[in-house]
Amino acid sequence: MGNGVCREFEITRKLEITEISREIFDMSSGGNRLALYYASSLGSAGRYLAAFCEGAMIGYAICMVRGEELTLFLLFVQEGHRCQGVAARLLEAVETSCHVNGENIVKCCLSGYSENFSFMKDFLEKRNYALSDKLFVFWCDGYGDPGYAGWERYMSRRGDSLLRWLEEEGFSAMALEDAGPDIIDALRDLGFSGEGLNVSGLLDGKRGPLSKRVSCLTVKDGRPVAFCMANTPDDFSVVFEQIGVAPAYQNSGAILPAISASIRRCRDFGYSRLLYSIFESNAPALSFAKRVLSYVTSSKKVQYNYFKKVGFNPKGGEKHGRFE
Amino acid sequence: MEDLNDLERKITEKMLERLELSDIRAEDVSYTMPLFSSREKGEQNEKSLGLDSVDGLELVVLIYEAWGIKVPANDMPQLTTIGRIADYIRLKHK
Repeated sequence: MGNGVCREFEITRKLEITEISREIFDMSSGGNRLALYYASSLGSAGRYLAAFCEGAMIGYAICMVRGEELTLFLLFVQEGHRCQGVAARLLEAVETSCHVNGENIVKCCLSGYSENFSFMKDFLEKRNYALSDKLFVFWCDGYGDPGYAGWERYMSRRGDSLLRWLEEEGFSAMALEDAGPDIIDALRDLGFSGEGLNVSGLLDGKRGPLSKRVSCLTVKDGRPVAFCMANTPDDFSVVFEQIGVAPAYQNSGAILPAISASIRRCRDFGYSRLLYSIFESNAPALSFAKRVLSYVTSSKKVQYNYFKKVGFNPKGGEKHGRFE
Repeated sequence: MEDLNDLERKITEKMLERLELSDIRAEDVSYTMPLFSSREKGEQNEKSLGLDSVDGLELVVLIYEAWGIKVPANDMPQLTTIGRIADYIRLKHK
């Protein structure tokens, strides 16, 4: 192999993202559909690094930056160039980009079903990455069964009677787009349950733009008591970013109006895919997914999250890793 | 309406039936076992029955239908074990 270089793409416009993802997409890779999905949905939060050998792209890293944390979703090296240190140089380039841009933590997401899972696990552990948590990622094709059909069955069998009970108790659902400033302010003030929940951050779009028409709240006595916050990364997908219940309403089922309203809106607005993810340590949410959301869920995969503190180097660093 | 004799056992049996927990036997549910999953890692969580918040709502509806007691939302967080549910029903029956 000749001399190579890893460099960061400076992407500022969505058009460029699409062009870059096409370039990546042309490479033979099982993960390329995923690459295209990430590249088109990350928006300005995306960071893309590629490895070149004699001018040709031979690998890429697709990342997302949120505050001080960079998440590496995909690290790919084309066949014929593997086992030559390209992946290591790409990862170093990712870390260097953190030094330069001010992120402190690199998080790597490994799919438990990936063919090269054990290789990547060893690869990361050798480079001082530690397993931080395990995430279950659920999704469904909304129009199939289970999907919306399964959800309708659940609602007619059990959910609708529970919703009627809650309505009699003064609970109701409201789309985020219909919530006035007083409700939004109350939402920011409430201490919702959940690991790392930051409602204000969500509302301010720090985890990507929220879809106000599919995000819904449960309201009681004019105040929000539960929420289902979602975004729509493309024209057919909805991601449930966070679901939460105010501490005073734990174990009350108060989430049901919000989540059922969100799912119905997803269907009514024509979204055909729903995604949501839950950390393994969040036993109540996993239990809820198993007992209630299973009616809408068709598939599940496990994602292992590895992280490493890389530290921000205020003097910057060499911007792009080189390899030979 | 159900009487209050052998209340804990009745609650357990009705709960398992309503929540369709057919793989759990009533005699395996102790009256002090936490019903709901907890975020806390550890032994207690492993021994909970693993119910979620919508199951909690099902329990409230069950209590109303069987014993005529309407549980306000504010009281629901205290209904964490079969024993506590039984105590609550006895208290409200007075």
